[in-house]
Amino acid sequence: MNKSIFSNEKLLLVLRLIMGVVFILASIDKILSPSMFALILKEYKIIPDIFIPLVAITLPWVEFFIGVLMIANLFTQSCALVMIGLNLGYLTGIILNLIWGLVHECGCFTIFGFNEPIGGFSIVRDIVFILLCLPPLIYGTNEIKLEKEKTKQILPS
Amino acid sequence: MKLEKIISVIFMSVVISGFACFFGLLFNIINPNSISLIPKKEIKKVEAVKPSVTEIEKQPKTVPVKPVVSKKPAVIEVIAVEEKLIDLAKTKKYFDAGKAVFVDARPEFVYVERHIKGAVSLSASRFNYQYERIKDKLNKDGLYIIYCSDTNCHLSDLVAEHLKERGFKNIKIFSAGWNEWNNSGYPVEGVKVKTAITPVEPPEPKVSTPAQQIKSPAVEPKEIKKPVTSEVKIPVIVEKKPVTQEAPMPRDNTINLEQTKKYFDSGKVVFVDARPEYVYVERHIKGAVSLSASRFNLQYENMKDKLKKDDLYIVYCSSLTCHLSGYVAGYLEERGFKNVKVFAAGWDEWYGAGYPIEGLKVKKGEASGE
Repeated sequence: MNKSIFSNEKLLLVLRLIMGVVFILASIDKILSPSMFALILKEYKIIPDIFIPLVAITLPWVEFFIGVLMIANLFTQSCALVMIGLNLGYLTGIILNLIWGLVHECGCFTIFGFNEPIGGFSIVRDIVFILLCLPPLIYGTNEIKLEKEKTKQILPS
Repeated sequence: MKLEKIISVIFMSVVISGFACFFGLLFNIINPNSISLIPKKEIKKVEAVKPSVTEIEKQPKTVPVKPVVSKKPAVIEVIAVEEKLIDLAKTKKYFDAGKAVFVDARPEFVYVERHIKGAVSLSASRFNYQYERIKDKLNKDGLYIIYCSDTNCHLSDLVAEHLKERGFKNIKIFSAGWNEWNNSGYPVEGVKVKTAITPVEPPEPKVSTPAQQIKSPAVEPKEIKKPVTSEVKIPVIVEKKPVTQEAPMPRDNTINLEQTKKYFDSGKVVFVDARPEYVYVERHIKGAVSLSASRFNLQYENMKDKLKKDDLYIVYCSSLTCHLSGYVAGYLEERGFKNVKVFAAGWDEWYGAGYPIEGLKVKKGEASGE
């Protein structure tokens, strides 16, 4: 990676906004109807049945919080790390299900009625999301901006 | 220094995720659409709420012609004021009258397990594919009642829109959905229903109440009367027409494990494995041929001379959630195979039951099926 390109502040801002909005949009519908999300999770046959309600309740909120924090530029690196982790999880689930011959709802973006079955598109999309999260993870900051400005002011003296 | 930063980033990730989870759990308490943290065991619930024989007999013996005021709570009545949405009582009336086609908007694997008796599956995500398969059987002027799992489930709205786009005019949504229908003990069917309702089935219904009139074999109109024995005798397969209401409801071709085993024992069936070929090679149902969905054309061309179009074919995949068997069954039907059935529970259930299998990775103890 060329540091001069990927550490660019404007690029990082755009990536943060894209990923933040994507995760918030992905979470809203699942937050509002966890029962539907639980049904879709069950289709993946990866999570034991006993944990499905817990995951269906908590996972959308993790997506929502990291989306908001990402946009707000708070703990960007940690949020990017969680996003990459989640996308890797989704990717694994989708690939395993396709290998097993299970084709069902993705459960990725149910908002606006956008509901597609898992397939090549879902895999490519998740890989793109992971790539988009890499610059914020590497060049983003995990510090609160106010503190950073203070340290900058102190340094010249 | 760098290691410290990495640790702090990971630590904050855990903290943020933990906080979000905690917040999610708190929100679930106040969320009107909240779900229970302990998964419900549906089969037991069905047994508990299913009315007894005497309760079924107490139901009205004739279908009321005039609309009756619903006894449901006021909330449901308010919803039902909207023309499109109907409540349980109205849905049951339409069901009894047999003038509506019930459409299940839930994921297909949920439908296969349990659904309203006579309903067809048109799930939101696979709508186009499923619709193409059954569109010839659907009358666009008919009444269609779409249901999902409960009021929180929006998939019925999506399916309703899809149907409207295709020219269906008379569409209603049963908003309370499957959960309320099932809890009311109304007629259901599916591959997992039999075990749940067997204890309350009357031995020989004498009075033809609406609930009893629609009592027919769970999914399959054919019934095999002879029990499975270790002898080589071929069971007699008796055609049994379902005594149903005159609803224009297309039947699906799904069969359960028990029926599949009986067909297997009869030896008059060709099993088709719809899973990927490399999985088939490892283990498959004894005598099955491989026609995987992804390489169907190639495999079919290689063996089409050996396949007779009048034979019975049972297509299976890995499990209830695997739709490949549906695809392969569709491909076969397109090529003129008339008698194609789908063993919905598929390989997992067959293998779990210890029935005969073969393949490269089958060990000695596995293959006997005894």
